[in-house]
Amino acid sequence: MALEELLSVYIANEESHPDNSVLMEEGATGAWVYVILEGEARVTKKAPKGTVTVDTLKPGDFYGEMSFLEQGDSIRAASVIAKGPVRVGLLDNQRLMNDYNTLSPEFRLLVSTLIGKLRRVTEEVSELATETRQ
Amino acid sequence: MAKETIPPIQNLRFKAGDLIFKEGDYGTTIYKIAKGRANVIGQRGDREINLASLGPGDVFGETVFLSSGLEPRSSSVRALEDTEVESWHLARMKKQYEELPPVLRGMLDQSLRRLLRMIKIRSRYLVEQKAAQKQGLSEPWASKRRFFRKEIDQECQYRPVDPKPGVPLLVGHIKDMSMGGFGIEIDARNTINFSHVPGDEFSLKTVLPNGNEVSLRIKIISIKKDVGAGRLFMGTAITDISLDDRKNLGFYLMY
Repeated sequence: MALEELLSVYIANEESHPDNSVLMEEGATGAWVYVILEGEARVTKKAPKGTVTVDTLKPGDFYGEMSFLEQGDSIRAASVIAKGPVRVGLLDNQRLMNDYNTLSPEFRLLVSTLIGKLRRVTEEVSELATETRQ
Repeated sequence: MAKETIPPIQNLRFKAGDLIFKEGDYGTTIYKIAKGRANVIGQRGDREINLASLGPGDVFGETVFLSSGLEPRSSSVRALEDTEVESWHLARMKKQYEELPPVLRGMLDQSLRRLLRMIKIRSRYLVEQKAAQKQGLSEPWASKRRFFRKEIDQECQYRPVDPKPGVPLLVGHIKDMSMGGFGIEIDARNTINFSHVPGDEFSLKTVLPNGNEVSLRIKIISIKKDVGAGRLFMGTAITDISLDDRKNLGFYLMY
């Protein structure tokens, strides 16, 4: 696929992790973006009454992209946990920044608004999913 | 397609109390507050409730980007004081989206897909919550069946509701799941010592593909015998499930 070929140019480093490794931790700070190269990972989110899986990542899927697209406080919105052994690629932040800098101010603001909305809706859904009593 | 002209970014002024847009209207504009303050307002019956307060730099009306303007505004926005907004036409934002560098576009697409899915799940939860409040929590399984059905292949353990001492756990394979019931394939030998006819009830335990374990009670609705050598297929309905397990199952079936 074209995107995969293109992606390889952006990969600064590759890492392998065993089953159940925490690839990214909710609440931590960070601005790096990764892409899954092999294997799968679960995206989990904490709610007051438990933890839910909100997504499953497959090869070609990103994680850490929300913090990057927001270009804000960069708090990780969710944890990413390896589901079996995985190989991931760390994306070259400089290259991504060069791309990001081509965006107009209004488009950047639209993107960060949409990501903010994604954070809020995911939080609400996680709460609804784990709300068990009353 | 003919070359479209994209409307320029405009500055618009609203007086305190003016509606900038109204819930239910269709629109093709995204706004940014340049100066002033506004409230996002939801209509609940004949009452207006304040959903969010906006100030300089805040963007609103962004949902038209997700729906390409095909869905009406889900809330109203009213200027709280004399307010100046920048208006961005949807076509301008779509054009910039089309021209995104591919890797950024891949990242954004993934986020937008997840956002759309989360919005959908949320509204299903809210509808479900409302229905549950209306009817009490016990009945409406059957009416929900087809909305949530998912094909899987998951082992389960089950046994008669009133086990006699020494009754072992029986094993089956869940082939499809919904909030209403499961389709379960079993070894015909399971039926040698234990009745498996429509109306029979069993306690069942399984682990969902997302790792959550659920326990519940099922009743056989139908039995199909011609599904392969020595196999039977039971259509079942859920007759009892705890609220916790119901949420687990619901969340798994929603995406």
